[in-house]
Amino acid sequence: MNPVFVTLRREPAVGVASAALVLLFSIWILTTPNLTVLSFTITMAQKVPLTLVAAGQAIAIMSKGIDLSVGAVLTMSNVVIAAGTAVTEHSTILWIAAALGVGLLAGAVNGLCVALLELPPLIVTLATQSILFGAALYILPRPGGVVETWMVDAPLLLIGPVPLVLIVMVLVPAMLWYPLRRGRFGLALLSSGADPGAAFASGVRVKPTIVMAYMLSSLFSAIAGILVTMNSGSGDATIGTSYTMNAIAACVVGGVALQGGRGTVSGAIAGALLISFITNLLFSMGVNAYWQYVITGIILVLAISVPLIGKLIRRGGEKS
Amino acid sequence: MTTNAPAPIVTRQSLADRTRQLIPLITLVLMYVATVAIAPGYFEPQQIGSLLQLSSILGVAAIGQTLVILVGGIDLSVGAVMTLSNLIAATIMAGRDSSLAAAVVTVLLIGAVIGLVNGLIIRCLGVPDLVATLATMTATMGIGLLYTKGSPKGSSAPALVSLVTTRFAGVFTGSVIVWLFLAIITIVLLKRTRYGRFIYAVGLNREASRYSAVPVNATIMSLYLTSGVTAALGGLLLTGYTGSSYLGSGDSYQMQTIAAVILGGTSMFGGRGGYGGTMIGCVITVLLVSVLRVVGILDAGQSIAYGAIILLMLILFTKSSKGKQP
Repeated sequence: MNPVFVTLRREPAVGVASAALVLLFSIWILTTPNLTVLSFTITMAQKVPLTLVAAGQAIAIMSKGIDLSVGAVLTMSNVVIAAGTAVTEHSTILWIAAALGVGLLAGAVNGLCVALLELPPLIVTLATQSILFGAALYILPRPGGVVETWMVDAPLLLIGPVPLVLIVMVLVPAMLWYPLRRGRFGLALLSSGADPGAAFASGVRVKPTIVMAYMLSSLFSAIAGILVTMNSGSGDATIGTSYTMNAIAACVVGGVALQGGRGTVSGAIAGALLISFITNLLFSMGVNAYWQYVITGIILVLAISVPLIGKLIRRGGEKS
Repeated sequence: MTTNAPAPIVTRQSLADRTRQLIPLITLVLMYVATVAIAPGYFEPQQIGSLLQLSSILGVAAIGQTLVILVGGIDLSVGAVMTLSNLIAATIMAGRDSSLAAAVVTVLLIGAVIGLVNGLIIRCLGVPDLVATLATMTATMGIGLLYTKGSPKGSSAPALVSLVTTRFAGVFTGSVIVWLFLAIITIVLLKRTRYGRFIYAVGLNREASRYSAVPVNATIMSLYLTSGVTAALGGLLLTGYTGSSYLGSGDSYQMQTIAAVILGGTSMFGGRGGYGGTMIGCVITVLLVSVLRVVGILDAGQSIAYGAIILLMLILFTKSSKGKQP
């Protein structure tokens, strides 16, 4: 049976999020004056980092955890590249590798603390977030650093008619996640998230799976940080602060269950794009930028509570 | 069987609980001794007074956080509520003593409303506390920005400033007295009242509590409400301390309240610990920040230090409680 339909039936939230996304996307295309390929590309380039962070966050949440350090990993990635390139010119590739390394290390620490030491993911990632933000501030106390020209030009590139950033948004999850999802890891992750005890009893290696989940989460965030560096052209130790919250909201909107064991990365990506487009629309309607915060909070609460209320109503209707 | 007077709880404290109570105290003593050894100035009444002064602001805000964590929850909106109450209080007071009462009432009401919203979202909508308080935190930040339109105005009433800064006996400020007063109420509430027992019961085993006719929903909701109010109070004290308002003034306190609770030995899983530990945790936190500043490590290092210490303490305490579970 067509895997897309199977997924949609199992996770209706993904369908809803995608439908809403298509709607908003169309509205945006129709109502934006002077829409050129360039402005479209620039706009999409701004949205892609959040989709990647949300994808990683979804993986962590599916393991029955949460990763509050994603924003900080993104920031570290940005700061390492910008500060590093300022020190040694023309070795950006080296610093990109370093940024990815830092991300993987952070993910490993998170994963080990949660899986081996059995510490609550919330506090662990809160602590690592604190450490990483502090480290970023230490490396780059003031915004600055150097980003090579080819990095800054990259988001504007087109491959044929398609913006490179869109290709990246599709390729990165496709290469890093979907092979894992279809293989043993996907099953291991979801079963560990749904019921770790049962999973362990069924022979699933729960602990390594959880470590891997957090490492993937941080890896995605580190990659997002590379993109953010390309977008902004400089380093800023505060750049990632809003990403954590928005990524969690994106996951929730995209149907990832906070109690773990359910959800899809594509849902999280759709959720991220949805939230970005909502913000865009509000901005172009002239809504004060400060309302974004309030609205994100409300969206988050609504996105979680609506399915729960639906379940309550259904359960109430079933009682005879 | 119903009795009017709450029966004294006759339980022998387990080794884990005793450890839980002693470690923070020992840590504080060791830290303080080490600090005085490096910088003897810390032994002077002036410095001790400053430490207590800063601890009182953190301490008041941490009351709510302690209560919420005791039932196994968490409140990520404390910092944002402190900031909001700082912004609003300063604007209302505008440097006048006459507006002090209005500012206090308004700010406490707002804190209560935000706390109530947290409680409702968590218990009635079934949203996990992490997400709910994260959402209210974000919304509160936005409200603060909207209210001030990005540029905070106003300043603290002189009476409030003197409450927080004037010292008697060279050491204690009015805010410390307020803190001690609230602390006594909190500790008595937790250890000697039925409500306090409900809190520990819910924290230890929510399902069993429900079956034992403990009003779980009401308890949890009232705790989040309290957290909002104490955060607002903390924001008021902060206003008196700084004299005016700044965007994000209370944000650093968010991490600090959690740190204080953890350092004080309260378990993140709920049901174990208490406010006495948090008080010690507050002083440790403040001392740590102060020492870092003296050594020349500013925000960046503080951030790193917090994270590292929280991880360390988590590991220490979780091991001790996990080891004793049947």
